[in-house]
Amino acid sequence: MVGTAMEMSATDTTTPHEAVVPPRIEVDDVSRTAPAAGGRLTTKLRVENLDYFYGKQQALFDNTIDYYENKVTAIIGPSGCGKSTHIRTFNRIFELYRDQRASGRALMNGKDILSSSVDVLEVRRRIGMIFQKPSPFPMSVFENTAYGLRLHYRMGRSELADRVEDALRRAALWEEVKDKLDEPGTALSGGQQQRLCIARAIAAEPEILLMDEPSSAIDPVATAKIEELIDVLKKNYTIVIVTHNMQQAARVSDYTAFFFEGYVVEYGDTRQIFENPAEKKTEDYITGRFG
Amino acid sequence: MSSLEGVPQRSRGRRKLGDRLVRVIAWAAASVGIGAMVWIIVEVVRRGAGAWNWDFFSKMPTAAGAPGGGILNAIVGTLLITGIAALMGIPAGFFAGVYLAEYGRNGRVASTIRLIGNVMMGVPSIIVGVFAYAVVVAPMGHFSAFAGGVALAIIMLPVMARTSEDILNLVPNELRESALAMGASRWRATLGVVVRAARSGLLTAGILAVVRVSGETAPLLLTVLNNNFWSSDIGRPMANMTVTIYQYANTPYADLQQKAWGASLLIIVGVLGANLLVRLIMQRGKEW
Amino acid sequence: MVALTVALIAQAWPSIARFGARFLWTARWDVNKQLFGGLTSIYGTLATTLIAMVIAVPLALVIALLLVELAHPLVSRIVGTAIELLAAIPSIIFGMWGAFVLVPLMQNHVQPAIQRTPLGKLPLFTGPPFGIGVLTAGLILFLMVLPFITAVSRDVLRMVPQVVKEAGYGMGSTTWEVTRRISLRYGLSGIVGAVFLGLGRAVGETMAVAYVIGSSHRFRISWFEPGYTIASNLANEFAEAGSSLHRSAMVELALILFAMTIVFQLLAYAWLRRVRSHTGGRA
Repeated sequence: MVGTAMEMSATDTTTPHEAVVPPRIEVDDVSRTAPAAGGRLTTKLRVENLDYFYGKQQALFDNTIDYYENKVTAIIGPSGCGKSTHIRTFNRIFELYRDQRASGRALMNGKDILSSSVDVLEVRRRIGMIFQKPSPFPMSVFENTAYGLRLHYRMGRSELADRVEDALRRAALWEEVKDKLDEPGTALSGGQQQRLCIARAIAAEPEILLMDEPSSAIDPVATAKIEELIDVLKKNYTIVIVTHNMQQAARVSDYTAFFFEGYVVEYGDTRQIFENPAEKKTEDYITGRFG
Repeated sequence: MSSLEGVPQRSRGRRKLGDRLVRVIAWAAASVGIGAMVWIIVEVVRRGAGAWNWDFFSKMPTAAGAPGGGILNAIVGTLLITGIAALMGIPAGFFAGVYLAEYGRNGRVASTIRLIGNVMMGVPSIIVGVFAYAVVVAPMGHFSAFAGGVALAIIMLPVMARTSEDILNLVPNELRESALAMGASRWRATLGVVVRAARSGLLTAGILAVVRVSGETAPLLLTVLNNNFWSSDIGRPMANMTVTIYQYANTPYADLQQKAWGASLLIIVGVLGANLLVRLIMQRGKEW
Repeated sequence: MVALTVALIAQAWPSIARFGARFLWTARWDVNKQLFGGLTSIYGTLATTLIAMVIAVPLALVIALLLVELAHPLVSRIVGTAIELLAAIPSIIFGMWGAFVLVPLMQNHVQPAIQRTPLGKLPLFTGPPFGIGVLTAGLILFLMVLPFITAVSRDVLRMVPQVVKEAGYGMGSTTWEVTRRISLRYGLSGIVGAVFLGLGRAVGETMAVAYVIGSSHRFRISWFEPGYTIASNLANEFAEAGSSLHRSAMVELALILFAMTIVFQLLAYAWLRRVRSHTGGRA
């Protein structure tokens, strides 16, 4: 059994926990599948001492977290605490903006993906992102899904078509759009658009999927569908989901990190965080005393 | 692990090269645009500055080929003709703009008028000249400054209307509503309050419209022509800068050609000066 | 506006009646014999416009890209202002510059250079290089149309929602890939509208062209040869037209130009009004 040390950084205390192979989380309203065979924990992405600046203002302070392979990690916290900013550092999307920068390391497969010696296009190929607002490209459903494949790979038409169908199936969208593949992506409903964005992301087989409040802009029925999807997807991908909805975090994730004002206050097993938080602040947030 | 393991990838190097190439082209294109602008202005200044002397601004043209003289009549003429045009075009355009902004928010009529206005703005100025010829010059039997004014007014009208409408639309609705709430009639509220609020914007609209037509040549060629002598009769051909430039440039005389450049310089100074003035007014206008 | 149309048609009628459809493809323009055909002017108008647009549209798009995505905001502003100033320069000044600066350049350097390359074998580039002609006029026209198309393209590119662009970059696209595959598609109808508006202005441009086109009624295919456009023809000859038939022929030309402008304008607005394209289909 391999365990990795889980570290917790908080504003005033540092108490390392020795990792035990985490027990399966049993949450009341959603039934869970059996744990992955063997229950090994490997770190897919390790963020170390991550700081982030908007111009002169610092938004993230010394974030250090291990994200485990094939697990879902949720990031929760009040608005403005830096959750989105945190995950947006992974695929270096902040490089689009002149006065934003990050320092620290993010190690994936041994390489620091934040360093400029690592090709950002390659990083983005391996890390997919789903945004809060569904953002299909101005092209057909087929072309949306095929975008990543066409971008990075050379393949024949039939292979492309197969992969598109596969991605749409895995995103639980195929049945609904199989007759509409040539219609514009924007013609779908909000929930469908978001699943299209998921299909688009997974078609190119990233290793990590980042989801920035993926269901906050869509209706509850569609949200439920997406949550089911996450449960299935994590078998193949490592998922990090930012959400302001605590119930969603509790339902969907294996691990949870609680952020406050740019700091990682507490990080651990989801069940433990929600049932028995170690930090007072965490407890206050969970019980709704603020935020 | 990924099912895409063995699939050949598109060369990232080549993709980045393409990206870099486009950036280079973009900068090159921008340089062409800016370079051309700088080049034109530099040439105008270089070639025209030599013509600027006291005589240039104060004297009448001499006989063809004889050196010296100036373009006083042309300068005055342009001012007069543009003035006539402004008298007709600006109020008309302004009221059209008021109508569209205040009364015509959503109606079919208003949208049609707007569309027609937009199309009119795109009509080549030479065609406006032909029209003015047909309705003013032909009946009158000869060219005249008045005809030129009419042509320029037609060009000015849609421009003025559109910019007025835009400026008036910027005035917040609360202002209109509070005037109406105080019992002012629609008409009064509009003129008194809204227009007042937008006055600096409207002023700039007027200036821009005038500046835009003062550089026109083509319609004047067909309506006013030119005049080598002093004339202040608006019912007759009148000297003006733009046609003078065209005619002088087509002569073989270096002196006249230089005067053409000198007049060009004057026009550019006027245009750029007006643009600067407009910017100043917009700044100042923020203090209402 | 209606008055304008009616007046134009009325004045053009004698010419239309006399020459009929042949007007469109005869080149003969003989004042003495009272025979008029508009081919030279029409060809010149179309050719100069074509040259101008073919060069202006790609450059305008790429400059717009620069203004929106690539350049530092301050640089963007400076470049943007410079391009706007280019738009404010009156046509006659372009003409002066064209005649006295560009023409010698074309005559002494550019045209001989073209003729030395394989392109020189094409019928488009034959004839003695005098610097004037359709090609030169097209180049001046390009400079005049560029700012306009750039401005509209820039506005169109700015309208692409940031999320969509981020999603594009997030998939690992380069800037150009995001622009080409996403932004341009997003704003396609706006750009097409801008192109039509540019076309409308290019065909009607008078003075700058009048200076450099060479003012000849002889019909020649080559772009090095002098020719005429409808607008410059009107500028040069209208005021002195002798007979009423002569004048009428010119009004007919004016009518053709007018019709072209209206068509382009209406097409432009039809495209500009379409809700942003959500193009479907499979590339």
